[in-house]
Amino acid sequence: MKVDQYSGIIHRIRTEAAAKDFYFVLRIQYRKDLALHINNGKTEEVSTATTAGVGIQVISPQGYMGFAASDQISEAIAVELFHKAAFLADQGQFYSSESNQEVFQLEPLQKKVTITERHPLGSISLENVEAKVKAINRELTDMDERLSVRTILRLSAEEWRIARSDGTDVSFNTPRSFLYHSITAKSATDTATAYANLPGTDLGIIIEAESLERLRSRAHKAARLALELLGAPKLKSGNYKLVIDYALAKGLAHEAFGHAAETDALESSILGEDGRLKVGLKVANEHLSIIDGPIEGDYAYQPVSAMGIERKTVKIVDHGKLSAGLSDVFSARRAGVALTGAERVESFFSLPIARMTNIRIEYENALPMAGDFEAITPADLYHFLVRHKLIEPQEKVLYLTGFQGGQVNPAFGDFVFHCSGIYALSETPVLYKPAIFSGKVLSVLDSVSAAIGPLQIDAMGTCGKMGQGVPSCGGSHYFLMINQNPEIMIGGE
Amino acid sequence: MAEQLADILTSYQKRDSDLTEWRFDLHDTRGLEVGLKDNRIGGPYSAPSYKRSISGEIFLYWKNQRYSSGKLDSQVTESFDEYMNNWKTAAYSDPEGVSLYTPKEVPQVDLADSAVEHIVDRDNSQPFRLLETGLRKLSAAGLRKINGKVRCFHSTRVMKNSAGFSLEYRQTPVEFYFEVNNSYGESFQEKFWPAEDKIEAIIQNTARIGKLLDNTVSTNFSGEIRLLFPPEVFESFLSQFLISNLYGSLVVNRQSRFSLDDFKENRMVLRNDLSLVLDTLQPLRAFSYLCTSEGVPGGQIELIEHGRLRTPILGLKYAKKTGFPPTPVVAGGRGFFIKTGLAVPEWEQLIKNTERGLIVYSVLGMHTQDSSSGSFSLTADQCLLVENGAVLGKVKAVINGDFLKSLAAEDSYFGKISDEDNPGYSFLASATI
Repeated sequence: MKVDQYSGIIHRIRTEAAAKDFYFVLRIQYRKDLALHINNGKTEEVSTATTAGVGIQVISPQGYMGFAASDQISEAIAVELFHKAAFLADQGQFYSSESNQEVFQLEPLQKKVTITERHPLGSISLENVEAKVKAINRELTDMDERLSVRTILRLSAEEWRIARSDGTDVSFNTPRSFLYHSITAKSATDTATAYANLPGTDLGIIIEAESLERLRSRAHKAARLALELLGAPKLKSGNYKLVIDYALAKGLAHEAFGHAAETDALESSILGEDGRLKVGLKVANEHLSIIDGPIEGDYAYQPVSAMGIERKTVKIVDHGKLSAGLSDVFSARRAGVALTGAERVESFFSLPIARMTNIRIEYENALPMAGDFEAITPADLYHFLVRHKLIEPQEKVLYLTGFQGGQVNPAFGDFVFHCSGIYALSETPVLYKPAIFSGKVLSVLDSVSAAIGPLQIDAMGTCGKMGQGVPSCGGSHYFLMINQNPEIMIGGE
Repeated sequence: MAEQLADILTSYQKRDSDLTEWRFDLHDTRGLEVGLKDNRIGGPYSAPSYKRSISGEIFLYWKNQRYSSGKLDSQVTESFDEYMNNWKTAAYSDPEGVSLYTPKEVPQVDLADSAVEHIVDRDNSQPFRLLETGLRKLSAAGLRKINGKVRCFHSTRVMKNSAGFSLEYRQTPVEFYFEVNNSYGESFQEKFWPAEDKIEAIIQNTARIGKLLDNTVSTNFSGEIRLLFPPEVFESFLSQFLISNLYGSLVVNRQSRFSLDDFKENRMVLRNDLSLVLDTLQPLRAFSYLCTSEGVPGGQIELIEHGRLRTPILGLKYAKKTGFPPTPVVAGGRGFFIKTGLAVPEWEQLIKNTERGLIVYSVLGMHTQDSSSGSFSLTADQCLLVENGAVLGKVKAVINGDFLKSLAAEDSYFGKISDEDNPGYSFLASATI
């Protein structure tokens, strides 16, 4: 790996830190990016970027902290950064900053994790990549003259090396890729946009037949939805019995629960009390669990934390009860939970904070459902629900499809997320324009009454927290049923 | 480094005749950040930080309308051959691409404050003092939980191209904010260190509204209501639902609410007393700059005039495709101004004239909204309920409506607030409380 070459810098900072009796955490990042933008069959831009840099977090014996970072990596600059960070830690002490000495309790770790890409950048020519993405884009624009399509292919090959005063020296790589369509349908009077994407680790997403077929079926489904949304009516806002798809279930787990379980913010979380996680709190029925953890090959994979701690898989909710938090070294003890190595950073310029990786809702006794998710229509879903007596034939039930992003205020327990479209289920489902799905963290999981189909956990996104964006992923069974609840609201007219 | 890069590129161009032109835009930046989290300054998640970086972008023009677009970093001059090889390999063909553009004249405007450079390079104590002042005063005002952050940087921007264009200027972006009780915050974003009275005003406003939002009232309501957006919320809606539909690339590719014909025919899209102006040349403002990375000079331009579309926001390529001249672009989501020809009352008067309304201070989920549709469905988690002109207290609501349609409606109103770029805004929508 490229980051292997910096052992001399790490050795030098160890010497500087020892002389000053300051603890350090040093992070070196190397990253290479390629992005292709295709718009209605034409190449808008192909851009490349290489980023390398170093960030040094310095902690004084009293636990005061300073941080310095640069996108230039050399021994001289690293030494300059160390002393700047040490100076800022001293300044912090002068201004009665918060001190935290938890990092001194960490056990050292030496580890190297290398993910080998099957189809790395350069394995096929760029002309070939461009031609493939153009063809994928054109297939959609050719579907209907009312459609226009922007397609982005992005590849990132990222490497990290993390060293600490205690002898820790870990390195790992996190290759990532995705292909993303923004599909706009336009009529004389209306405009609607839907999205489709496929995450992966390398160029395999546009080379391997299985990936291409999945991407194709997702994109066609999104394109049909965008067209059907033209002229679709608005739904009357209210509380409804709901079915949500796995991408929305990921949003639910991520926005409604994952963030509230991050221990760095428990003093402002509905799942915390006096800074401690409310372990044992009942939040769902005994069949439901929420799990977060790294999965090799996943879009949000990260085997080791930004503090150089092995990332653990965590059962946040275990059979209906709040069981564990997503904790970082600075807040785990205060929260009363085990350290899980949840620290992540956007880049070497950032300070670590507790974050999710792949979060999924798992449900015992989920009803089996055959076939690919993308092939299941709203009418198929309706018949399945009636057949399994999950709904009455005439019952008013809404099916929310397509995750458009979300947001949470953990302090008040409010979450929202947005879908691409809403169907009122019946023999002939009626499509409504998308509307916000909002609710209370402590109400919504308790209303999940059933799950349908196998697990699908490739719903990707970018999680923004404290100004840092990192890749996130997750999912659930194909569908979750949510009972009508006065604290769960669908927006609309 | 900029001089060195220009020399290397000039030298390379002599060796490789495929390279016809080049331009780059380089930022050399140094800065400080200090945070305040849960009433504590500079803890693990907000530690005082120093950052230095060299970043930018390069654009290469090859024969037969092939182009390379790359990011610049500090290693580029040391490893130029490797970078150039990557750029050339990643060159793409664009038959609709444009050639190099050199501005005839670049406007001048002050964008740097030496006080900020002094803080970053010599006296790091000011950001700590600012946070300490806010923490002390907000705590004294009875606010329970206080967060905040100060960021101040100085940066030198150098732009050069193969036609001999060379521009260098300094800028000093500064940001700070305070947020109380997880409910309300106010911020400052400019290119100068704020005066004491500005800091004091932000602290006092944060305390006043934060305390109002501490008083929850119980009510049930569903139906039509008047929404009142303070300037910051109004600007975020403008950005999401109006500005985003003005970008030339989206307009030409039929991904905007508006078509190119709408601009050519000056279609009426807002009320006729309303104009939308983009201005990137206000001294020491956060959104100001001298020219875009393509070399298009900054300036003041009416994107919408008396309710009628005038021009999309256009880089060089889409200027050529549309036949309109290139324009400045919006920086950081700011720099646009709604102007009205009608008399505008004070914001407080607008509230007093409201029979039933919600003053919306925060919404959840703005980034999830479909800009092209113009309609919104959002949770407004921090609102004050107004009845018969009196503020009753905090409520939470789900709000729905069509923001663009509201800007064409006769019963939408504005309210003046001093020191703000844009007015507050009041319009009819629906809500469930």
